[in-house]
Amino acid sequence: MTEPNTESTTALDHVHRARLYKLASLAFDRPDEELEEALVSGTFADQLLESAAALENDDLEEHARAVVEASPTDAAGVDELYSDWSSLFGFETGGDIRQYQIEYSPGTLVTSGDTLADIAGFYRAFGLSIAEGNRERADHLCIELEFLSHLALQTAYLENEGDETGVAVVTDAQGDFLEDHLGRWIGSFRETVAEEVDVEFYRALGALVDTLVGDDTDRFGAEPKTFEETPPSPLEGLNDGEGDFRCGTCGPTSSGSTPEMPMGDRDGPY
Amino acid sequence: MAEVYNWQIGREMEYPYAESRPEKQWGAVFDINKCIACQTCTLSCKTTWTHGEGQEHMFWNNVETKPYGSHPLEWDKEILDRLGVQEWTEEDGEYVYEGDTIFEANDVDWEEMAPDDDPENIHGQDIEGYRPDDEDWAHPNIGEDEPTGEAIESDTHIPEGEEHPTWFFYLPRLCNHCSFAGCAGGCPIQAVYKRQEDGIVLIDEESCQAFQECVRACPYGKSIFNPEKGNSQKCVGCYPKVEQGLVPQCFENCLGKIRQHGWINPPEEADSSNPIDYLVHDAEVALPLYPQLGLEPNVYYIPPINVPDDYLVQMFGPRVTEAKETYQAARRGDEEYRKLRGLIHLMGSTEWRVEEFEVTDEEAIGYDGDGSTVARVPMEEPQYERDRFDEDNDAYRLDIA
Repeated sequence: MTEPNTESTTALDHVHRARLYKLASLAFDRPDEELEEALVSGTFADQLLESAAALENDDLEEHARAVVEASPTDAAGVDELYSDWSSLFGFETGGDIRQYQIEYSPGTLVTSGDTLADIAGFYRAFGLSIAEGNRERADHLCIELEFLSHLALQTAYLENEGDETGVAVVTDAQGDFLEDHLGRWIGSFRETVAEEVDVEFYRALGALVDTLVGDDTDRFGAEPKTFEETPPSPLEGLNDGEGDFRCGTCGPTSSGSTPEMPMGDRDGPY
Repeated sequence: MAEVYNWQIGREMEYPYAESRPEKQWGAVFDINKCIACQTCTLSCKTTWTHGEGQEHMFWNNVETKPYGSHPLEWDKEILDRLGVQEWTEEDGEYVYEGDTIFEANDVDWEEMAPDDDPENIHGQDIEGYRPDDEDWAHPNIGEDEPTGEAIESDTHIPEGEEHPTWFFYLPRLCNHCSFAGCAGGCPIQAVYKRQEDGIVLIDEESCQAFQECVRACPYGKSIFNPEKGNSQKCVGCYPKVEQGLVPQCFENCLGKIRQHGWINPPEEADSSNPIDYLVHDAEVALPLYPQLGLEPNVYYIPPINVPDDYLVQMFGPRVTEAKETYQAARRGDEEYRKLRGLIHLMGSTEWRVEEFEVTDEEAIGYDGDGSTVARVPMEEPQYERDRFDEDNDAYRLDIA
């Protein structure tokens, strides 16, 4: 890690950073009422453009414009976005795009307990915990983004208060978090989205977040080491290309009403 | 109205489907007195069937300490609370359950709620039950080894054959492949079915649409949702092994040899040479788990002799006291129960399914479906005694038997 270069960043800039991270977190999460309201009312677009422009980075501004252009602006559009989201990221239809850091790192969830603990430790160090009822894992993209949003906002507050020690603490934390965590995988995430997603909204959003993180790694002097490409899973050779290596004897169920308990044999239900 | 005869509760009862029994029914007897909760069964199942993503919380086989252990959390209390206090009556030694089963508790008119092709018709919605919370699946070992009852003092004496003042016991559990399965009764799209050849209850994963009605309707908590695959899953009775005449993984790997797998017949077709029929119908030493729920479960338990009757009657029905007495008589070596003693020796002694057994003067013998001998166990454990003095090593032996 090198020295942070934050002298030219004003408190107001930090507020804009906080807003961008927050909006990105909201947009990458499962579309809900909060996002729908922000999109339909135009607040999402206004704030995104305003904050991207304020940070004076041409790429960021360009990506923000692309996101806004691809954003739905009515309820039907948000509904469609909901379906897109669940087929890409959701478990309902087995979405392939993972939003978790550990999925982009070598090793498995079982061998990455220390990483999860480290991320959770960052949250706890700043008095944060995952909201009750939210069962996302600590390494989820949206949670990592929201954490940075929080730190950015804290930086702005502490700058205004003139609390230099406080500013140094949150500055270090942002640099460390980007270097050890988000910065290491956001590039691969953006690439995956660019290669496998045809929904422009998410493609543009991926580019926006990657650029925002890139901007900040420079700002905080972070030098994240990108994860190597994950080696193939040991089960890969066993797959038949359709992601399944069962015996294939389970046939479709017959239709028609069943007055007796549904019966079957070793080829499946009758 | 579909009326089926459930022999375990001694009466006809209501059920969403008409009675249809398979040609053979997968069955099992567990001798709880021998279970040490080593969880080898649990792990043999876990490593065979539920080691995938989305199955982290799944234990198709689990062993819980009673009374405080339960997986999913408090599954038994939940369903007993919902049914409330119910009664059994006795006449001429025949017990009849007078209370409501889970299919009757909400007074459903099953003719009106007949299963059909319309997935919108959640016909089983009034089967009494509940869907466990996510957290309820997170504590498979809760309450392990926690005893209940009175404290033991330094001078507490427990006479042979009596209940213990302080007690717990281990309850190994898996899918009961019920004759009147709640999961099958509850599924709105008939994705749960029973196999004609062995009575194993399976969920057809191709058809499952994740209504999770089977999860709600199985009072034993043995139908479990897989959030990664987006469908429900359950114990498959190790059907690939059963098809080859072998016993399931959790049976074969049981260290305590507490488990016997085989076919169970209804009482009127009981065959005394069939080990499961003998234990359940002849000796009446093995009892169903919570028969009052009305599912006619096909895993039977020899109740633990150290545990007070009132708890066990609630769990295994009113025939507990007699079953415990019979078991103790067989253990003591009463001549009358010699055949039972032989069969208890034979339990868990082979990986092949014993379909027929006999007890001779010297041994208990198990045969497979073709009549080939698959197990032989002596009636008396051979004892060898060595000399107290070991001449080769010029030393006295501490252990000579």
